[in-house]
Amino acid sequence: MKRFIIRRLLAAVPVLLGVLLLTFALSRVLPDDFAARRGGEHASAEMLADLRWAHGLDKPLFVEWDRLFAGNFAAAFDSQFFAHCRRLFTLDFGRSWSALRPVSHMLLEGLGPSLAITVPVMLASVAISLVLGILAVFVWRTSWDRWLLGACTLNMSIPGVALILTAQYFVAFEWGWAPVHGWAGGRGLVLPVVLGVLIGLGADVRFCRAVLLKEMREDFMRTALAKGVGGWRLCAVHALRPALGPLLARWLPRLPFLLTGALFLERIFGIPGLGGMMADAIAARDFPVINVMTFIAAMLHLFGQSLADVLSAWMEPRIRIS
Amino acid sequence: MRQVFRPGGWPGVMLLVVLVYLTAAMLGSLGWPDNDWTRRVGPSFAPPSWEHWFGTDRLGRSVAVKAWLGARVSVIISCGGAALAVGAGVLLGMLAGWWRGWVDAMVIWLCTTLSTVPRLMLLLALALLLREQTVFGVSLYGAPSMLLALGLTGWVGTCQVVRAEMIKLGTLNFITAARALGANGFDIARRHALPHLTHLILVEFGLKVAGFIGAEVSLSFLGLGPADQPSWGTMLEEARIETAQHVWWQMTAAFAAVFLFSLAVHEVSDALRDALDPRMSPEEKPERQ
Amino acid sequence: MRQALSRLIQHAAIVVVLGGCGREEAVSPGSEHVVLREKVAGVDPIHIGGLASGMAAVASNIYEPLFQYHYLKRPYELMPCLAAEMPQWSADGLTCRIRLREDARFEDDACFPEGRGRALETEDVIFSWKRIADPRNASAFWAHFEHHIAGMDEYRRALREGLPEPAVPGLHAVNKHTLEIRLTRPWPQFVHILAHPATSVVPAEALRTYGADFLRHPVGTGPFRLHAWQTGTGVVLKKSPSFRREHYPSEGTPEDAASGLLTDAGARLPQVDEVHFHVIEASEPAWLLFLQGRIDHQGVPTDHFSDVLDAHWQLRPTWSQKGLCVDVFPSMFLRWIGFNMADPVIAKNLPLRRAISLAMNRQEFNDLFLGGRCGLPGSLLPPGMKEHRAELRDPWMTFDLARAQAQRIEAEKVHGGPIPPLTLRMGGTSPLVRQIGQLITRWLADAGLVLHVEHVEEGSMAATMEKRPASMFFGDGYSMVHPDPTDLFRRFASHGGDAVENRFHYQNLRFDEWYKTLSAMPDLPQRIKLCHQMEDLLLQDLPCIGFLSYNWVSVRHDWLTSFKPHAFSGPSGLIKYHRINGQRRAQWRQQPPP
Repeated sequence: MKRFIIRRLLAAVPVLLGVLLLTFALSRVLPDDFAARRGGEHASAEMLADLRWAHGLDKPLFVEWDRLFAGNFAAAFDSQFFAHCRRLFTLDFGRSWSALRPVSHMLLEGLGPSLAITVPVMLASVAISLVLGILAVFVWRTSWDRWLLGACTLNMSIPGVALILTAQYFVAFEWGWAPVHGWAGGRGLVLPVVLGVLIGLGADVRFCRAVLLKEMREDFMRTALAKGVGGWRLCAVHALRPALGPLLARWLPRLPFLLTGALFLERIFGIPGLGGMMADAIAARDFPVINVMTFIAAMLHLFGQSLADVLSAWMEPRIRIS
Repeated sequence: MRQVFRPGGWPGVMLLVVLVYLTAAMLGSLGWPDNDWTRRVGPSFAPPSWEHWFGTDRLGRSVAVKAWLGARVSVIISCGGAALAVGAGVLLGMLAGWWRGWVDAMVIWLCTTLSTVPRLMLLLALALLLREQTVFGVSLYGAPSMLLALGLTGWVGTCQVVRAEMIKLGTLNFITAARALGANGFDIARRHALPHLTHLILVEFGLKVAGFIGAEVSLSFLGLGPADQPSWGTMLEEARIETAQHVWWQMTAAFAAVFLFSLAVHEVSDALRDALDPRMSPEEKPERQ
Repeated sequence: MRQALSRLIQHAAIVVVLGGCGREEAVSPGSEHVVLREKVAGVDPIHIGGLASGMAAVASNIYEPLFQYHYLKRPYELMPCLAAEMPQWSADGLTCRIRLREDARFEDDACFPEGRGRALETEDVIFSWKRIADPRNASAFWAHFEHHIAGMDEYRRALREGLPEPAVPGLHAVNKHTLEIRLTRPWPQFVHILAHPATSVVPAEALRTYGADFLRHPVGTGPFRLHAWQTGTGVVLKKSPSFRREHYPSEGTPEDAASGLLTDAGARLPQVDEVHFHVIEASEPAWLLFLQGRIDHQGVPTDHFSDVLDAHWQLRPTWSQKGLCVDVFPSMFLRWIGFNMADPVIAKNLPLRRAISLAMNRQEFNDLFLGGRCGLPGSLLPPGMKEHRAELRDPWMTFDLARAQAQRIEAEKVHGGPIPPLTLRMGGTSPLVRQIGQLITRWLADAGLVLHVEHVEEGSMAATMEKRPASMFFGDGYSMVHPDPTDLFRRFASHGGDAVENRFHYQNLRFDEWYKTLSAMPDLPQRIKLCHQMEDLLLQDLPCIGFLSYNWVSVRHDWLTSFKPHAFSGPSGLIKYHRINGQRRAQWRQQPPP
């Protein structure tokens, strides 16, 4: 088991490097002249060069080749990419370019509102999908099953953004059942959370249903049935355990959702969370914030995936061997 | 297959809907019903009436015409992007599944890296980057950049599925026999593997198109949509400000258009999957991860 | 009926929302409530972007620069703020001596020994301005100081190289309350620059103590001090007990006495005890809060314009009965469509530029996007400046499709064939900006010209115009920083091809000559004449098309008095002059009129 865990962690390292490279490349390659934007209209060429210097943008992208050949290793690797990596690993997140505040402070502030939405959404989604999935097993091959599948397809066909906009208009604006806008805790959370659960519910329910039904046809289920295990226990206990593997593999890597998943909800309802911060940062080309958030999201994803793999391996010894 | 899509059955109706949308896209490109969607047909923000079926928008343009023409953008982006994504995924999946070794390791690394970076961020960054470029004299602003961005990031799922199939196929006896007979990789891939993958490719294509319709709306909403043609995503984006004035018709038109198309494509691809894999019973088919 | 019911429920919902957040049902009587339309991360004078930005709105109440504009007098006049009197200039116009007030104090703050603030000294002014020059601070305001003050460029360069900090000979502290500034060339408008909030004075102790957190711990000399900062929701300021004695002005324009703006003459400032800034980015919720009496004044959202005001910009009776007052004033905001004079099609073809100008249906734009509140300009200089000529009506700055077509035919003759498609680059990708682009395309199509619109992010406009030039560009507009025409004309001067800000690539040697003369000329009668000449030259050469003359329309409740909109202080106005009748507000909110 330990060897499996170590192997899994080692496999994550090149992926992490790939992520760092990718985010760095994307952020540097985006067509943008940061200095021109910050400098405003009256800036001279000299002032623009100073602005780039002040933010470390005048260093070479990866490696300074002439210094490398001269043998000066310390200075050769004094490049933007290595500075980027070093900063991320020492958790020195730097300052946002548009808000001028330390990114870590901004993260801490946005964390509360985001979690207040994403945690209930995630818990509710998991709970409801499981319940409906188990229910689907019971009603399999009846017309109820077809209605359930139909509802899931309907749900999957509505783009999230469209649903949020329409719901905000009718429920909040026209009928006034919920606040249109703003972060006030309590009442203001109901509509965003409900919408967050609805979006993506269809796909999750179908998945749970498929996984559970697959398990139902296994031999061990027939044995359990023959032993006299009843309906609910059969589904919830016997079928669920092996189904947990694929389910965890689907849900655990979604950890980044806790931070940035509510992007559209936050944007449209005006909630000051991390998702909205990410969207603003991309629009404003605020690279420190973009890099930090991507890095954190990637780390969470890797962590979630590794955890899911380890847990599956622990529950299903066959995986360890392969 | 014909049985599944028989007229009168639910999938048959959905197929008809898809065909209607495809025709709308084609007719829209040819200039029917209105060649100039930017024409002012009525006062600003006129509500729906017999004259303007879905009312007018801020500049007095017909919302119904915009919704009709929006099909063009949606079809191009979803089908084009899906073709690109599935094509790239099949290619890389076959390479990885057949050759194994370091090629396989590279492809897996690429897949994992792309799926680790938050998808929306990747899409946004790529689309913003591509938007400014011009390739062969054609500006990539708007629809082409979204198409490319979706295609270049959406191949991961297909690649993994195809790779798994190729690995499975590699162990089958007839492939070993073909190798023993001296067939090289390309021949085997083309003549033996590809036919087995066709149903998989079709199913993947259907799923991707369904997914990309929604993705187009989301990306347009974030400001990446085309500026010179109407699209449902940009209609929703405009609607966001308008609804504060109780102007609900553009939002409703775009919503209805996207929803119907998306639903139809979902149903058709589900039915396709049921039809193409008669070996497995419906509940055993692997669900979308 | 259904409308009224849903509005009622909406109001109830808003009240519930607010009940859940600020716990501010009991509004203190001496407080003013203002809306901020963008999030404010912190306050640091050297990072103030535009005068209308959120940071400027908060900073101008906490920090003070050396000079300020008179609150009531129009055209705008400079008067001392932290300075004791207007500066004394030497004969050659290169040296200027400023005496500082002796009663200006920094507020009490933990960064000072024993927490007690101290009096302002010349060294503080020098310190604050050196911060602008420091390249590590990356302040955009440096562009205004660059090449102007003796020794500052060398100071900046030394810091950039990592050398020890040199002294700046151009900023000399004669004694604790007198500053002597030496310029590299005559620059009479320098005093206007010293009225900009970015040159406000900050104490060195605050920066030493708070370091990177200085943004959230402002320590200033101004009428208010920071009381609380609720990220994302708002900022609360309270009256500063150590503010010096400053009084409400007793003279203004002839109309001020009639509108009651002189009733507070001689009163001690500030007249309100607290200021609450509410961060609300969308206009609809802000409007609703205003209607409930929770916000004291507000710009009228475009969607409600015709609802609230009639054709003459007067309040409709239903609204004036609720105790609202309206203020309309011309802002110093310019919007134009610029031509790229380096583009071969546009540059040599004056009839083409005229055709485009005549094809612009400015009134339609005004009605669709601005609620009809703006005026149609006749010239380039905005109203409110003393160089503005109200009677001037440029013949090419109107909407006339017939003449536009005629000019287009002329243009085709000049070009030697049909005009190729033109490109317009627009700053901004929001749906509104896209609709504006589509509207402009339609206008030009009506005149027989083909236009392709490209949208880029606002900040990247300058960069993309360099890399991939377009024939025309339409940015988000320009707010004048001070009421002097050089602020406008500097964008058209070419400085021998070196000017970064001349995005039009316009080069006219006569204009450059005149600009050089103008920037060194003190305030004489021939100065106005020279400005008119320069403006006429621009109207003739047409490197840009004047678009609209922007008016700011705001409504306020009648318990807010002594409110005069000021072009250089942003939409919140100069809060230290405002007065709030707290009792009247409490009464109104208890029993709002129907």
